[in-house]
Amino acid sequence: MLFNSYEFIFIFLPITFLIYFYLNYKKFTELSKYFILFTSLFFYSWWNIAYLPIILSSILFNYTMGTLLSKKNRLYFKRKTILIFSIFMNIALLGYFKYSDFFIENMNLVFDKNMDLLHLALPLAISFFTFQQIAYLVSSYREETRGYKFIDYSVFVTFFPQLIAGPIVHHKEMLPQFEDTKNRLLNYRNIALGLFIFSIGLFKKVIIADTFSEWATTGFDKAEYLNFLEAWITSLSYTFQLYFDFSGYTDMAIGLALLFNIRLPINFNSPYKAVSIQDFWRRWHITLSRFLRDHIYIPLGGNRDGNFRMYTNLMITFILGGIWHGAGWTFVLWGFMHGGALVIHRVWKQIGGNLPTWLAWFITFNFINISWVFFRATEWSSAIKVLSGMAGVNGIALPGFLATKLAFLLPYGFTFNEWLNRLGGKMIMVPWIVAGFIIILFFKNSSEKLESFQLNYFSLIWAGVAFVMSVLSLNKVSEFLYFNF
Amino acid sequence: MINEKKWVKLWIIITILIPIIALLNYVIDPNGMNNKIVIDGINSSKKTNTGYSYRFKTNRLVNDKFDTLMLGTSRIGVMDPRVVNGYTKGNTFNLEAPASITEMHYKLFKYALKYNNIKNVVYGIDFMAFNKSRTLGKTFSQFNGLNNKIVNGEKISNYDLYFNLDTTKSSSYVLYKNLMNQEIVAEKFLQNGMRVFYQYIDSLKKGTYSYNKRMEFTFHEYYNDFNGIYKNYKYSENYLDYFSKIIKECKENNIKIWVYIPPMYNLHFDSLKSAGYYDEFERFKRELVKFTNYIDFTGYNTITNNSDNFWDSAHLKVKMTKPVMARIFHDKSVDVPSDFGVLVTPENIETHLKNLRGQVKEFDLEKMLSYKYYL
Repeated sequence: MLFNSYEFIFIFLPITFLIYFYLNYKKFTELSKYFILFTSLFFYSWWNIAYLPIILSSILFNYTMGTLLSKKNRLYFKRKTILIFSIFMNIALLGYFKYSDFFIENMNLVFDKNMDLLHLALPLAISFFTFQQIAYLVSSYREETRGYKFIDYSVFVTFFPQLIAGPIVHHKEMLPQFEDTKNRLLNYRNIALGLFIFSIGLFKKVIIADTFSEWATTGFDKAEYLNFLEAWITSLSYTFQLYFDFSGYTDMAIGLALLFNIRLPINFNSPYKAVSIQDFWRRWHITLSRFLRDHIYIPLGGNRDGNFRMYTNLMITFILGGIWHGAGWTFVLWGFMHGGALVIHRVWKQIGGNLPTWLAWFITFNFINISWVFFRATEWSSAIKVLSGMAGVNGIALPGFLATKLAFLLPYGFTFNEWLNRLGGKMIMVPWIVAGFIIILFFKNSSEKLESFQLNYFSLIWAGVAFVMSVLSLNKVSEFLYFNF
Repeated sequence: MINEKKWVKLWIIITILIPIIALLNYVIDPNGMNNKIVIDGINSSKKTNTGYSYRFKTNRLVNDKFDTLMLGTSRIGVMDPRVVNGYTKGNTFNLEAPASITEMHYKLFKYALKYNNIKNVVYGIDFMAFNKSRTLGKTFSQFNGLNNKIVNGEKISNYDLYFNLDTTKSSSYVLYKNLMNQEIVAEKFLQNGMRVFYQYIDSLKKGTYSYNKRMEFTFHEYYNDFNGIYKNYKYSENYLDYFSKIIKECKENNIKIWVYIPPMYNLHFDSLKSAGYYDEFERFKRELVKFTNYIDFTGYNTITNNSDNFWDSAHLKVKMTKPVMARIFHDKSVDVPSDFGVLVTPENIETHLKNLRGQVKEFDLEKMLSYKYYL
């Protein structure tokens, strides 16, 4: 079930909300937890019930392993063995479903074989719930967990607002909230906040991201070649689509959780305002960065063993981060590019390099925009097509109405026809791109809005109109991009 | 400042706008999708319903009873089902799908069989319907969005059209135009599925219709390098399978079928050679005849030489339904030019193709495509 669907907004959510608080009102607190678990699993199974046994087995396995790891009387080496085994099993499950075909394809290529691909369907949310539970196992090993009940653990993993595409939550920030009795009572301030932030998220997804999506899809997947402006509009459309899609999803998740008095961690903090690649990764998909830092970068040694080791650790962390997003060489390259950019940034800082803020932003944004081309492209040729267009290889076409005013450009390879034809020829794209820049650079982000939220008519009308407009645009229902990862 | 409870209550009240807007959209029905409530001065003049071709047509197949289908692209779409009724003595529905491929014809045909007792099919098959470069996923997103429902024979609900911002804009437009007593002139499907170019009829009456401009425009539609109908033409065996399945299932279900290749204005015929597609065009005809005889209306003949018979390079005016159907149904009572339509069989196919090849003239397609007047 999608957050941006009629069945979720008008049936699933109101029913779940009302019954959950009714049960708590009647003091059936344990039952209310089972109810939220049941509805979360129902929500998950809506796509494909075949995935249900996978997530249930994963929860059962990890809870058992976590319980074993948290037993203090166990010997060190046994606990370490259990940790390694349980992490291996999680990675193996993820690897089997996500990377089998990628592995086979590459084996076929290297050894000139023709092994059949498995064509396994990727169970929804597996990348997210696997990471969440690995973090839990590590905490159990560090004796930071404290005998949670199975039902609490299950709700922590499956809680429907964050189940499908994060934020990747930590048990420390979630389980105490589920246990807090105050959170079982209706809280109108949280409901107002939740509705406000959910409405903004829905608007970002349905009205903004889905509009950019159309042009990005045409440019990447349909057009045979792209001229200069078409290629830039294609890449920028995807850059904006990805941000508004994923941050819109996160806002909806945060808003939904607030309805149930649960605060999810923020995941985005105006990432396209970043003035360095390091700054970007502190603002983009923050809970993933946190996971990669705590569970890959630091265990590898972080910056403790000299510069060369730190650079290597950064590269490894980001290449793995790239592969986490998808099984393909374009994702590996994307991770490599970001790891490389972070290394360059560190070196630059070490030699005392400094740039004016505007130039630092310009370089950072363009790097991110270009790296998303590899992230989005389904194959190399598609990435090369967009990048060659951006480099002006296929010429620069300008609007026909400028032909007389800018005729002096003709000898330099400029043309004045078909300037946006391969994207559908819609002039409206240009103001949308401009608006995209204005929003990402000058507007408050959702978490800032959440902090400064005031119960007044302005916030009411804004949230109400955003919600109404979004619901009236659900006819082009589309999945969230991060459901694929 | 408002208190928390009041804020939540007011937010819920604002959201009641959603069902109210949906109800208004249902009543005004700006695109004529339900036609339940029609009030003069409010919503009697509507916008086009051709933007929702597949919803409209599948809804009609579910809600009425038809025994004859007209199948194919918009070239058969502009033909009048009432003329066909005269020959089949039944109730004919024009199930055209604009610029479609045979995969869509087959799926719509199966959908029609599920809800109707079909006895006759008139199938206008086009060269464009076999272009491998055009696929459901890439080219026909609207059909693709409904594909599962069509394949599973599910009824297609329109409720999402009423909970819709675009429909709301259309409702406002329709309401304004009707209140101002201004007629909306737009292309529409009639209840029998026929496509009527009201906008051309209107401009013809006003003397503003330009055949040459329409022709230039349609040549761009066929040959432009972004989404041209003939772009990167590659003949698809897979699409031939869909065609053959229609023929086979008609035979198995005792459904009479008449197949024809619609007429195209002679310059359109010539352009296929200029574009380098003539061999594929002949292959298309050779493959068809392996499954059924058909009438071929293409080439130079009395009807296709006269631009006055067409709206553009490929769409006949509705008055031409009579000669086309008379030729297909062997009606001697209608005066049909003898050179209009050749019955093609496995025996005469090569002679026929040779004859047509002799008719093709040189055509400067590049020059035609350089008239980018619509940009």
